[in-house]
Amino acid sequence: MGLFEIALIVVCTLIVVGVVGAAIRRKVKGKGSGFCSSCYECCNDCPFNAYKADKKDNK
Amino acid sequence: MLKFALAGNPNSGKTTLFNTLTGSTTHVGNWPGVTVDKREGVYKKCAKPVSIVDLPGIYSLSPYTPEEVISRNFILNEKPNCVINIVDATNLERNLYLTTQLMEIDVPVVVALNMMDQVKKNDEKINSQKLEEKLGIPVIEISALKSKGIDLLMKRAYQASKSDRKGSTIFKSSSLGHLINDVKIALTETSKVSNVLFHAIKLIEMDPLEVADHGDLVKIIDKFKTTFSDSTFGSDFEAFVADSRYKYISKNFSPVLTRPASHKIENLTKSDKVDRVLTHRIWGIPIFLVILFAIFHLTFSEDFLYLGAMGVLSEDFITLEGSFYEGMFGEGSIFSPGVILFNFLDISMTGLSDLVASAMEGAVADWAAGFIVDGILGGLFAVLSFLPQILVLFLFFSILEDSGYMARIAFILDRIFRKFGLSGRAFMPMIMGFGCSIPAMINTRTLADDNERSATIRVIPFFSCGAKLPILTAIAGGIVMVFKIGSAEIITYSMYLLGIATAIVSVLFLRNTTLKGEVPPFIMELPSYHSPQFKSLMLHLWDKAKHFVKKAFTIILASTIVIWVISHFSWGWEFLPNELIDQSILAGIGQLLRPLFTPLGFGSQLNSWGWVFVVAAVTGLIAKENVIATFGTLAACITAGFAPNEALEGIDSVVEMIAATGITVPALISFIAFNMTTIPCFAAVATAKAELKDQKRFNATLMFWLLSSYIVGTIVYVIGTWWWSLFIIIAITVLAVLTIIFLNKKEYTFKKKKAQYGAF
Amino acid sequence: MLKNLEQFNLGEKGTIKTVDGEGKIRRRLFDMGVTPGAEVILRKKAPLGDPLEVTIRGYELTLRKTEAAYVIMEVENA
Repeated sequence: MGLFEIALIVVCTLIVVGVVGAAIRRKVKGKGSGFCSSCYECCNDCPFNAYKADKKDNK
Repeated sequence: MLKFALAGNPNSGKTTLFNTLTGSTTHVGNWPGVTVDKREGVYKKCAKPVSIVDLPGIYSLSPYTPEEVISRNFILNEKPNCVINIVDATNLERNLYLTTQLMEIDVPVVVALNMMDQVKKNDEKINSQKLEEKLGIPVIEISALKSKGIDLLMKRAYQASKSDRKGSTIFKSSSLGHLINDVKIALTETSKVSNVLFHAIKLIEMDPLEVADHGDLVKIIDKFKTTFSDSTFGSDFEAFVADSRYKYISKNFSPVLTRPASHKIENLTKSDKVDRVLTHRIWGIPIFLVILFAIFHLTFSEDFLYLGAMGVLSEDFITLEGSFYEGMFGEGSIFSPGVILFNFLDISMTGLSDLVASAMEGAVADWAAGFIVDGILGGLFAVLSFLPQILVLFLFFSILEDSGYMARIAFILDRIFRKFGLSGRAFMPMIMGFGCSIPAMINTRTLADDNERSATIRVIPFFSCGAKLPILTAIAGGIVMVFKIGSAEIITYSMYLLGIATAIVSVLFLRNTTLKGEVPPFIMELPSYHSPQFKSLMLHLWDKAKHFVKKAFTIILASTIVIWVISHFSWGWEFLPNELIDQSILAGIGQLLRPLFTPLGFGSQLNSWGWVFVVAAVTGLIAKENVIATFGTLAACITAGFAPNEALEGIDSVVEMIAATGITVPALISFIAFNMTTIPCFAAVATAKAELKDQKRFNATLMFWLLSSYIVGTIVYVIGTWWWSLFIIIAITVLAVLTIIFLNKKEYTFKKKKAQYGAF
Repeated sequence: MLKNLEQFNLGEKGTIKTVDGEGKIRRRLFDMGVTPGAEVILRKKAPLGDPLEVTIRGYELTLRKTEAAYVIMEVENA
């Protein structure tokens, strides 16, 4: 396998792990489904305050 | 950090002020009930940063609606340093009703007199200085929309927060004055409550929350009642207090407002003039249906204004034949704006993936090329090309909402809704469902009755959200291309209607069986019409686009990667080339579940590739866009087994799937229907759980979604394939309805008999 | 002359005399400013005649016929 292929596998694994990890992290914090990153703004009323958690994490 | 609360009537401009103060882009709709929970932000222009909390709009502090309870408890328990009371200057009396109640709490209060620009436009004048003297608290004129007076407001609020203000009441020197004092003393003696004045007055009003907390003090009030009698209300203190507030306001505060001499209550405002047309007694509903159809026409139509069908255009009118963007603007007809934009993205992305495919040819391992072109690009582009149409739909619904038209529709539809056991107010969350189910479900908090709320939450997913749009459009497009019947626009429109029909039937069913209840009152303000603000509309569109793209490059991307992987490895973790995809893990799972979907037309009756449909539907649980993304990824792999690597987007992937599986039109429609009515994405499910609170009710809701989608899918397929079965199904339905009515009657007479005998 | 609000004709005007009813609905009417002494004019009826839209205290309020029935109005004799 060439360099390109290896890089591809690494990047994709990171993406999948990242997304699943973010979801699990939210679930652990008791904040609902964890897939709520799809609707930050519309969920300013988010019952899980998921968007707030993310804003804090980004600081 | 200091904490200020924004309190005021719905539609008084609270959220606009909140956005101006905190610099956020929270959604502002023009009908009562957009803010349903508190929002927090930070104001940074004071000496120290101040936390601002936007409370839900309320008309009073009585605990009859959830918003009132939220606001009341926040101010009483979380003790903000200052309450900024937004008062709509064009609606002074009703707004000040709340002000007099807020002032009874031991907290600094300042009045922000908003919409002063509108007052000027109406040729009216308000003497805010005089109002300040009469109220005894600061009054600052502002225009939240035009950001005027904000700095002064915050300065004075900041100053006020430093004082230790105690509650004051307009009843001090009234006939209730002594009673209030007595109750105050009794309260301080028996318990350690703060805000004694507030609690005392609420107790006198027989406020349910107060009576629950301090029932023992009711004796004092009862004793007083025997000596007190008002000519109109007798000893009904609840009525007497409310009425006295308004009388006091009328007498002492209203005079600060001077109207032009020509003013009469009969005069029609501009809003009223528009209303005469839009909510016309006869034409109101037809106009609404036409507007709705126009919106769908602009978004989905492939024959704009039906010019093509009318034969007005030549065959190759603006087809841009031979160019790279051939067929984008029209083909024998003009496409609607939504479709044009879709085609633009579709063609561009196909071009892009072809470019990538040829660039990688030979230079990169075959599997890697396949992974990127089929898996990633195939999946992503299938979904991204729908962004324009989602935005167009969203834009139109936002305009309807922001202008105030939605509230009018609720008004028109209330009578009809009542026949189904809902109030007109349930209309708003449902329409929001066309954008996204999640804020729609949250918005059901404005419905006071629990059963009504649950019924509404259950049917919200039937109002197909933006994420389901790709499913509808791609499959409709596929049907038109392969079977050459119908038009994409009509199929899409009918599927939306099917969703609505399912919702109606479900509500009827639910409200007569498991979620029975009274229809709650419909006493509601109709805010004036308001031309939507271009800037805020564009901001919302931008936000929506941002989220969609973010969702695509995170969740959907991750999903397509996972799907590609488990579709290219067998159970023994052996890598499989595209031709052997049916030996993969994913195919295995699909084959297992396949028989379940036979009644719906996409189960065992399809040939060997049929499992793709099942798998696509399952991936929809993560995000509904995944259904088409999965098609995109898998279809490319399946056909690549027969043809060279080519990324297949949305409609094309559906076309390939139709060819590969031999699926029929009724089954395709059934597939759409199933996806539209089944369990929504995980995020929506989680929202439903949070809103329903009761675990049992939530489980019932999941079952409800599963069952109804299965039933709807089956009915569609069965009727579509064997048209005569329609009669059998009607017969079964009638039987079911009669049974429900019979059972309800039995229950009614049983209860009556029980009451009769119980009396003995 | 006394007249029930739900019997008003389009454009008819009057002053509230009393508000009957009880519990939530009555409280809600009060909170919205529907109290004795307020001037009310019937602005519009929805298709099928229900709900009603009235102008009161400077704003537009909608309520169903069953809710308006609680409001007893004083109207000028023709």
